[in-house]
Amino acid sequence: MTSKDTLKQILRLYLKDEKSSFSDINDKELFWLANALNVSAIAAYVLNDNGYKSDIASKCIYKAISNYERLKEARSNIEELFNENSIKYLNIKGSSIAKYYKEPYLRYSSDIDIVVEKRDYDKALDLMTNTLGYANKQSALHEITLVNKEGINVDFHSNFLLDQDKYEEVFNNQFNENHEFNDNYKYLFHLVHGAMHLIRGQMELRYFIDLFYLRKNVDRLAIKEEINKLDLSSFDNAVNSYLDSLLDFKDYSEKDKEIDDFIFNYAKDEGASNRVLNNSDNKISYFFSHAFPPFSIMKGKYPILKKCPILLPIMYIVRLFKVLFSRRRQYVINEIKESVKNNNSNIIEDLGLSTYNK
Amino acid sequence: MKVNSDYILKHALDSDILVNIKNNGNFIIKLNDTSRDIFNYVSEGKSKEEIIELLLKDYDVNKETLIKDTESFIKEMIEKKIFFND
Repeated sequence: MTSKDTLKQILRLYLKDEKSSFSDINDKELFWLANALNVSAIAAYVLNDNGYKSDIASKCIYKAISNYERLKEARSNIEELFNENSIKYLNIKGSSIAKYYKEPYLRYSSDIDIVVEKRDYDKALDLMTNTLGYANKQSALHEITLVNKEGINVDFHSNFLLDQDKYEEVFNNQFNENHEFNDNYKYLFHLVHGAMHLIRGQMELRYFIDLFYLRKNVDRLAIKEEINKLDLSSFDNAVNSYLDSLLDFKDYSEKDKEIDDFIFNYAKDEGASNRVLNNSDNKISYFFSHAFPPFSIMKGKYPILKKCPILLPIMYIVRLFKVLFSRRRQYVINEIKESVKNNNSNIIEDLGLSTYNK
Repeated sequence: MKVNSDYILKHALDSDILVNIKNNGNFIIKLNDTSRDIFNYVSEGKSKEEIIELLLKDYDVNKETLIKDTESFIKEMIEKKIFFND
């Protein structure tokens, strides 16, 4: 069994609460894949639960617990301060979904996502920087990313959807005392967020674990109109169909296979766009990821490589000169956007997401 | 005595473990039942004497051995900066 199949089996066992036995697993490869798709803690949890002991798995669990608890502590400090100062805010993404998992630490989050109502935004930002000591960190993908001295990143939004203004109204007026969306809007936001990630060339298996939990609580009839307003009917059907296949409820359709390929190709490219955009701690790998992006990025930028991959070294040289004589960071960002658009135009169209692909 | 707030007690992989939340999960201490109870009692603000008394009620062990083991564990935790004196 390949690592891909093993990983999918592991997720099935987790979601369906079933047991199995494992042997002959290539731990290193499996966890590399699971890590790229943000499900490594779940993989570790399931393997351990089924009697398969592994050092990598133990480390994954410890890391996940540590990560979850440090984010929880930071979030709790922020919430306390915001509540004291009557700031209207919503916790979105990971922190509002983790509680559905068998253990909340199994839902990996790399940062904290908060949306603050526009009229409170400046005040909230002031509290974050002056009271809690967060500093502004440059981010290409988020409105503002704040970071504290312990390295906790907070994506600090005043809009629910970056770059998708026409859909923004669906989520306005959702601020409430629980500081998270209700079940229906949680599901809607998950859909639109997934669509925006797919446009950027990102789709992880974690997305489908979240979807599994969120769709249990949603009243589909009540949000049908909103799904249409968001132009997400096809995407909604497609991701739910893929999840059903992943769960073995049905065979994989052609579209399911397309999503499957997209997910695992994304893992193979090691989330190229993320790797280049997020400053890595490892300066050498950061340098190389800038200087020599993966083939998927290069063929998006230089379509001739699709026909003649042998030209790759020459294209690296051409690109290197262009990067040296341009605003480097912006160049790399544009290059990724361009390559994602070129490489993924089929799936974007097949899943009905053309309106998002601006 | 107090517990360093960087450390939390969790149950994972069939063990009770102390995780340093500031250290990316790289520092883990596995605890047995007695040391887990000591950690919890220290978190509750109990003194060493109170802890020993409580443990003697919970465990059927020789008093001298328990005192020796408790003191040794507390000393180790203080050395590792997981517990500190007020």
